[in-house]
Amino acid sequence: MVDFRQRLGWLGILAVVVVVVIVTVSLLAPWLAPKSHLYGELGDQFAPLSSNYLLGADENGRDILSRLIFGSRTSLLGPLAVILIALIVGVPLAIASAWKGGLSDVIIGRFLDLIFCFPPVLTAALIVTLLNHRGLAPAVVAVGIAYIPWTARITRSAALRERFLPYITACEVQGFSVFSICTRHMLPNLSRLIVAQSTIAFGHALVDIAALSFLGLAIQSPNPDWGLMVGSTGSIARGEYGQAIFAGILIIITVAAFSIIGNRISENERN
Amino acid sequence: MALLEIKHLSVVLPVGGSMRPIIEDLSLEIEQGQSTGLVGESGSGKTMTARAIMGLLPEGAQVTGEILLNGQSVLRMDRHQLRQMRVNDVAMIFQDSRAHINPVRTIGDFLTETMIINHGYSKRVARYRSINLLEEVGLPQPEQQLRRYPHELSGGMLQRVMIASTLHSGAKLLLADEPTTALDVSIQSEVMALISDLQIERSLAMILVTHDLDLAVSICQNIAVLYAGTIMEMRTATDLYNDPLHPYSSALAKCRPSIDHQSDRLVTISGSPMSAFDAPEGCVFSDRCGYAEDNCKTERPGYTQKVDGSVRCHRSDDLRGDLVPSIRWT
Amino acid sequence: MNTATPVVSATQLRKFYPTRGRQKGGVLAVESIDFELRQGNCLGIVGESGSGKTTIAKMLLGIEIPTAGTITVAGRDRSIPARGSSERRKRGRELQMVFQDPYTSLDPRQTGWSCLREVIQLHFPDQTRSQVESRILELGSQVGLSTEQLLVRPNSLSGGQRQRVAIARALASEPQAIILDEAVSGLDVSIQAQILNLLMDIKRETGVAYLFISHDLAVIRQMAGYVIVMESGRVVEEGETARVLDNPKENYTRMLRESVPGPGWSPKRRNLV
Repeated sequence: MVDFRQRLGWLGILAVVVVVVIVTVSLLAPWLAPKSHLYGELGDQFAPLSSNYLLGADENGRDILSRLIFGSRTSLLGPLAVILIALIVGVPLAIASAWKGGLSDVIIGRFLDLIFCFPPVLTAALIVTLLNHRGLAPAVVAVGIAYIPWTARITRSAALRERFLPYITACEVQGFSVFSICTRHMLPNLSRLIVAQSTIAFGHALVDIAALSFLGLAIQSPNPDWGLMVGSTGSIARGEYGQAIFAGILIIITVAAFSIIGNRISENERN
Repeated sequence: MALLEIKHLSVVLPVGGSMRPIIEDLSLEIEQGQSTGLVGESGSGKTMTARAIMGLLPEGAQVTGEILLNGQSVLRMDRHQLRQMRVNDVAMIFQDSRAHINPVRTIGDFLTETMIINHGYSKRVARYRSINLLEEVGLPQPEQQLRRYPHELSGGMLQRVMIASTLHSGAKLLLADEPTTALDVSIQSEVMALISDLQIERSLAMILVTHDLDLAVSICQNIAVLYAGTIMEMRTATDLYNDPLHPYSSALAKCRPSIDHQSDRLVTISGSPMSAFDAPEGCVFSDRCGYAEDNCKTERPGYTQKVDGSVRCHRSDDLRGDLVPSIRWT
Repeated sequence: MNTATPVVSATQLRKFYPTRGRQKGGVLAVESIDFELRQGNCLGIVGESGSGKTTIAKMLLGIEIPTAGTITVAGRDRSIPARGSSERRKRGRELQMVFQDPYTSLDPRQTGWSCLREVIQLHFPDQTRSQVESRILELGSQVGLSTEQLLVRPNSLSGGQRQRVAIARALASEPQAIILDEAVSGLDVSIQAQILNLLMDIKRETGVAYLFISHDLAVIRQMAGYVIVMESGRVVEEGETARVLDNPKENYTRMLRESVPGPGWSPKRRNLV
């Protein structure tokens, strides 16, 4: 803990600061947003940057800054839910598969490969159509499912390495149950790797959900979402790139920050 | 002039943010054709000494002192000179030869490459020469071995290939860092015999780095016992075993179980071997030495030359008779 | 305890690894071995790599399934792998193991204390917290570890100290026999001597039996009263250690004996295979 600063480097510290700021903003959104994020003054359509509209207004006269601030919520919540789904399903599956080995390992592997074949967008479109419901929830479920093979693969190869190490064998020889060996010994030793990979995956998930919003398969108007703002045809078609640029920059910064943190953690894991 | 002279060598390495001494005030001389064993446990600095001689110290190492090979300072050599030295003057055999041979190239490529690139041989001549070398190290069917890949050879055979590659260069100094530790016992004896024979035949100077005192005494003419980054004692091999000047050398020989009889209890040295940076004030061995007195704990003994060897101990003269082993080396 | 019944015995133990795929054949890791280990004794198994000595340990512990033969530990048959964790737990109280590499045989995230507590609570679930605590301290002192050393993670301990933790862990279930598979081979010479003395003391105090696997003949001489010499899965020679090492009957044993550096020794070159 003491040499945290040293391990992160200045870039890593910057990344942590960025993440902390974004999380704080999303939590304090109602108090920080100067204006409504849902409703606008039609008369103020495409208002320029001013003290009234700090980052301008969009095609419906809504304050862009307030929408960006509130948009941070879905941009954080969405990927978080995705990671949770991928971990809750993927990690136990991977550890069980690595432990048992043999036929079950192969079958699970093939099944995961099948899921892997479908890009998140396709799965999302499928689920949205089947459920006849658009919104953040189906998008998150779709992307979450798409990420399961990815999480499982990384966890599985690490678990395979641990599986045959003498300290695990020693636990088996003692007579501990497989469940307690996997949860009390294997999982903690994999946790650092899992956390590192999850932080990187967070960034990817953010982009994937933004892409889905862009395509109209996730967040629906009037709710703000950075992805939606990047793809706001109402503005772009009329040559107003303001909100697309701002939202795009925020997405890049957030994804980069999480990726850097993830990289730092996994570098330290290796050392 | 001695082939290799190390004078008051000190090496400090950056470890996790702090600078830690690994070797402190180490001095050693090797004459032409002489074999010397560097014997020590973990942290003794024996491997780092070998690397220093080869100019292979890690990034960020701070070195003081002098290493003279044929009168030339190794520490002041530039990259080009170091390469020349490693090609022509010093050959090294490592413990894990598999890690030092490219697995995707054949044995033939490995051997001929240096000859072609560094010595300008033609392919045909290099191949012919390689076959000769493989014969010399006792590998059967050398022409076929040239076509094989490292993973097709056993550890012992691969070590012989490494030895063959060192023979070619005409180096006058051979550094062997635990060359047989990773091999089976029966192969160890053979490979060690090969190294020893070649060393004598070609009048090579040799430094054998090992943790096995018995092995070093069997093979080498001289032995330097290292502890916590410096030399505790240096003498001829049988003298060091039969009449040690330093309590550590004596204890090292005594604490090994004997293959000829069972003891009630083995002689031990209390505590654990340590590196230079963990060593206490005064004599580095003082906290583990059964003979330590007050001044041993406060004053670091100098490296003194005696009539028949060198030793770093305050009490060496007093203890002379007490340190002899129960069974002498004949 | 009835010393007439061996603690560990194996009859006609054999392990064959068939090659997968269409090609026939395979590796005979252990041809056929019989041995008995009695309470308070130490049986040595000597061999080089590929001799089958580690495979025997794996079969005794249930990590590998014997192709043929029987294994009996503490009077119970264990030729079939354990089904269910309660059977494995029972076996854990009969036979334990200390592994070769002190750097991977302990959970890097667990302190010695936590490791011992976990094992004690597994095998003796009825003990109160203070009973468990005093047992941990007892084990610690038995293997020569201070309380501070028990409270740190393995990466703060030296190789010898880690092996002490591993030995304490093996003793925690109060087994009748312990397999030591090259348990001192990775240690410095001065530490090796300490650990060997420790093992001898423990054997004297508790009467536990050792199956000592090693390639090091001097260590075997020191520890084992009876030795089995193995090569490529076959038993080459066996007998009382003193006799086998001083007067080897078989060429292989003689060759092994002659490969060990010592007073008067010089390395010999044979004709290479």
